[in-house]
Amino acid sequence: MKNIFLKTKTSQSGQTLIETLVAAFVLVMGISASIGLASYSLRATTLSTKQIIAMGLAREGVEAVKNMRDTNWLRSAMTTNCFNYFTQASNASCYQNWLSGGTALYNIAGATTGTNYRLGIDQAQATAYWKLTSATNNYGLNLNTTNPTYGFYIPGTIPTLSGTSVTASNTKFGRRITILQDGTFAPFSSATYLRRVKVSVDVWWADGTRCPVSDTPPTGSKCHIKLETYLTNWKNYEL
Amino acid sequence: MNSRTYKSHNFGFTLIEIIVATTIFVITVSAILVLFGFVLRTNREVQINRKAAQSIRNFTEVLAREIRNGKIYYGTAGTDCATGNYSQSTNQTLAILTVDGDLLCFSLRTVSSQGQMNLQKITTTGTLEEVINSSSMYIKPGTFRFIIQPETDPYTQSGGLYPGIQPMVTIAAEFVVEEGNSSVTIPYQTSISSDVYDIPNL
Repeated sequence: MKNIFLKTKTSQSGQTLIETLVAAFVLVMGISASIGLASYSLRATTLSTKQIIAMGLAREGVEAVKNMRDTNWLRSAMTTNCFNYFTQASNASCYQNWLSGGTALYNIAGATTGTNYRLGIDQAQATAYWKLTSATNNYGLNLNTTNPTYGFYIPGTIPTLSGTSVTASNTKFGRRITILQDGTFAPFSSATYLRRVKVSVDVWWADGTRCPVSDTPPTGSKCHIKLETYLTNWKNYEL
Repeated sequence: MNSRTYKSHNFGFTLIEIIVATTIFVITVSAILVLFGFVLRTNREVQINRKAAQSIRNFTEVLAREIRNGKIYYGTAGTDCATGNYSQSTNQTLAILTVDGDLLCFSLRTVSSQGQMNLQKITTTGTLEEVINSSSMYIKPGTFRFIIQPETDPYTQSGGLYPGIQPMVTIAAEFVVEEGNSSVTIPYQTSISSDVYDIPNL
């Protein structure tokens, strides 16, 4: 009888502690992986909404600088002292004030090392709605959807043009325009009025702990888009 | 004896085992159900965002094409687009003179009884076209603006207040995109500069 009892007892095979732990571990890993995937996809959707807005704002920056160049062409007189690449003489027709501005014109000259600007709205000056202000900070945009007389995303307070920093209380969007005079190769290296400018527009936003609030654009592509274009003085070149 | 031997081979589950197993099963299934609901919601939001991205891109590109190919018109073009509209701080119209000589008028149009609005394009011949061709995307009418700079005709040297300024249009609108019971509101703003260079030099 004793032997039989012992035999039955030993044949009672259950799960060991190790097996139970491994099973629990696998289950936890599986569930946490799927939860992580779901939360990642949710975050990706909010990201795409921000990207739509950021792309519109970046495009606006590029268009504004292009518009300033066009206005400089249209509001200034043509001169005949520009560099002629073929004859290597300064006798070509062009609009020499296309970058430097002047009366009722825009200064979009930038610098060879690049200058950072804030794109503001100058309410006081009816002839120049957009205004570039050289700035090292306060790139934030305020949101005004109740009375969008000057648009939704306003840099700072109108008409002070002082700008605002990117904070957690405003749109959390920042926009910075960089203009770099690029004269590294011919013909852009040859003469003063034949430069080309590289316009870069950075738009970035804060998003929880992933992208903390910052008044300067992040280095990577996370919560950050960048549009670049080259502007040249192509209008009315002739001998 | 026989029955006792038979009974001893009858291994069943105890009540405790069944209760524990059921508890684990219920917890697992409810966790999966919650996860499933979450994935469904995420999927709906992904669809909304994809729809929003497509519709907004379409909206911007249609306007950009007309603004770049044509010329911003400062006179009266149809019933909605009147002279002097651009000077109003709440302007919601834009008139374009195309290269073919047609006059286009962009203005808001009510598309449902709930007061939902879309942008429409009317030619002088009366053809009507919806700029947003989507049944589930609307513009919040109070927030929509066409901000046109300069406000008055830059194409004339005499009479114009701001001659020689390249016109630029800023579009501000709150778009509402719906999918099922969910909706997302996107405050969108962008600007488009004209590509016409026939403004007389000063």
